[in-house]
Amino acid sequence: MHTPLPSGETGHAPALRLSGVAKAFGTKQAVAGIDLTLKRGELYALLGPNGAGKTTTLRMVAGLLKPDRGEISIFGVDAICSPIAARRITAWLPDEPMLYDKLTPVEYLEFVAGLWGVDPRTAERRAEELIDVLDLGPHAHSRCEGFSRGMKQKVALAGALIHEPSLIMLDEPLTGIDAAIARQVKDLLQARVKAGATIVLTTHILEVAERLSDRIGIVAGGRLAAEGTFAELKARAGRDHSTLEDVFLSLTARAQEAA
Amino acid sequence: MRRLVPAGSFVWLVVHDLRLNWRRFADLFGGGLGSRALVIAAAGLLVLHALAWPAVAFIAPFVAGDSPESRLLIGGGLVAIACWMFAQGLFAATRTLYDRGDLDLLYGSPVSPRRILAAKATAIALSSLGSVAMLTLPVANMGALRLGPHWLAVYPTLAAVALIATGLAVGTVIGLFTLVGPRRARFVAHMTGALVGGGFVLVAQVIAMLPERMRSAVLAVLIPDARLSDSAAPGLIWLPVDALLGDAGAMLVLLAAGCGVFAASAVLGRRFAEASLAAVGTPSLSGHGRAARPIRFRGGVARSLRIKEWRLLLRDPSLFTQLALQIVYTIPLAVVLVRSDALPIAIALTPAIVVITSQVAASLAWIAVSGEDAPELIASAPVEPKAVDVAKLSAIALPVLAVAAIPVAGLALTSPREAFLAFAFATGASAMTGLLNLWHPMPGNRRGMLRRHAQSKLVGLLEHVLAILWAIAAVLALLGSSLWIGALLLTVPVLFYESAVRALSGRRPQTPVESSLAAP
Repeated sequence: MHTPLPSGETGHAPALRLSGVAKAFGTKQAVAGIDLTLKRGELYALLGPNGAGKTTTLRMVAGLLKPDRGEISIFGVDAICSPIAARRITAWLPDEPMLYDKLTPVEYLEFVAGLWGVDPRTAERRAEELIDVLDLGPHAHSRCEGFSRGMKQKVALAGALIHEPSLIMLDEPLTGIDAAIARQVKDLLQARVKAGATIVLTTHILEVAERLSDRIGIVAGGRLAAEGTFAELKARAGRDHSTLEDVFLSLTARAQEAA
Repeated sequence: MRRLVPAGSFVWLVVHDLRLNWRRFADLFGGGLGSRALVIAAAGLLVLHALAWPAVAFIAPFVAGDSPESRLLIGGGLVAIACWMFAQGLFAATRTLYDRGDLDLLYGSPVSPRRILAAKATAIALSSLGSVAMLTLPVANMGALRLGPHWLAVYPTLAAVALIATGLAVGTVIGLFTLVGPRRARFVAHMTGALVGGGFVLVAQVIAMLPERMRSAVLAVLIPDARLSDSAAPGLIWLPVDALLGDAGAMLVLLAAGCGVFAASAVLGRRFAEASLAAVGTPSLSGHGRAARPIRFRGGVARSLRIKEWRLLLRDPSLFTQLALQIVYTIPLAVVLVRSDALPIAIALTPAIVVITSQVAASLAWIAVSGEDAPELIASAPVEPKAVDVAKLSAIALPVLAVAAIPVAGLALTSPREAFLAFAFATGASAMTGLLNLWHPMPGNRRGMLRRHAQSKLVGLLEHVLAILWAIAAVLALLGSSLWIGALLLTVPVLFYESAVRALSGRRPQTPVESSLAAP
């Protein structure tokens, strides 16, 4: 189902492992040594206030930014030393859809499949499936320039999935899209996890993290302040905190005090 | 200024638009001028006036008196200015319709749409006027000081011409919108603007190139003999010339005509408003419509990148126009050189071919590398960056070759050796300007292609120097001088200059992706 994992992969390596990963922009320490491990086939949500370092962390995993220090391993592949091998099995979907306005969704999918070296016949079949699942059919041959944000997000998501990546990274995938499209996206992500993919997403919509994710990581000040299932986080925050919002605010406040 | 007029009034809206236009203009010089802008503008005006003083002495003998020749010269100048203003009006009206800017905000306010659009049209006219006035009004002022106040007639004449040109431009855009639809209207308007803007000079040069008998025949058709022999005779076609020469009656008629045409376009304000609203989110189809079709993919990284670049180029009318502009504005140079009896045609054409192709190559390289719409997508793909660069450069090679092919093929009919040399030097120049843009990306919106040098004036300068050195080398090679090798050797330090400066300062060239991923 998913892109074959690199040869030599033992089958025991975690989907993603970050060890002491740090990144600074000038004097601003965006990520200050994150340690994180994702199990295979889980959906992991990264929460945190604006500027906490969530997106920077994912961009380093996607190979877009080089960490100042630390190690990144994706299914046992060293993403810093072997970025091409790592990218072959990953997909990155930023909050602003990476589209070409003058291309149609079908042309966009053909382009992305070409970049990832997917066999054309296989890519055609997957494109038809994705267009069908995401209900893009009526617009498949229209240029993206007139699309709503939600439509663009769906096209970009289809592009991210056309090579059936083993690790999918999504930055705020549900921000700014309507409920119907959000439902389609959530259903598709859950289906991918069931099929064995690993997903890590950032979101400000706490309800999404609570309902969709197997585990939640809370990032504050460039560090992983806490992680676990919702129940574990609730227990850690204290019994006064019954909602994820309470837990999130409590844990980020503690992390910021500690910093 | 904005504090002196009531908010939401017509003048207030015009000032708002002029401010935005001024900032767009300032961006051409890298922006960030801040409060220094006025000082720099004032200093620039002083310099232009100083230059205009001797210029008036040079121009005066040609435009003095009321001879047919001087009238023809003044009329030609006015037509060129009107063409320029009309082209500027077309570009600005199209930008207002399609790029939106603040139009949604203004339409959402309680200000009447007609007032908003009248203000926008006025701002377009003022901006067009401003673009010409910078160079012409210092000459008029100095002329008034040296030769008499009738030179000040330039002021109202230009204002009237600006009103007519803008009114016609707005009307043309609305007409195109109605006739050919929103998507094609933008392309047609841009192409019309490019052709009208550069076309007048070209047509004038082509007429001048014709054999004497043919030229007289053409001029006789364009300008009746009676008009030339009896310049005092009134006539609509000579009205602007009479106005410029200080004829008060002609001036009043011209101003009335300007106000009339402009007002007529304002009457179309409602249609303009409807058009601008319809332009938003116009669902555009691919060339084959939206009917369900089987999906057929062809794989390959390089092929995918090339096809993507070609599709984006072919489908973006503003890019197409900007490239056409580059070519149209360079052609007159070639025409002037070809006209020179002292130069063989190959020597006259070759430098133009070299300069045009190298400029087109530089623009396309910038579009492909720096104007990449989805740099993160490319950067996150399992493809070596070098492979991406090679694929993109190979994608731009085809259109560059197409631009060079037509004149080179024409040249080959008469002189194959010269055609081969022209092609070889054009290819070399294109490769170098392409590489320069590849090595020193200046990320930006691809629509701002012609303004890309504002991001790095040094790269822009090096690009032009490379093109000129290759053109000189080509001419020297055609003349059989071995000095062409020296000219080509000079291109090497020029190509590597920016890299050397960066290496010495410890700066690493920033890729488009790195730029887009600036610190959050």
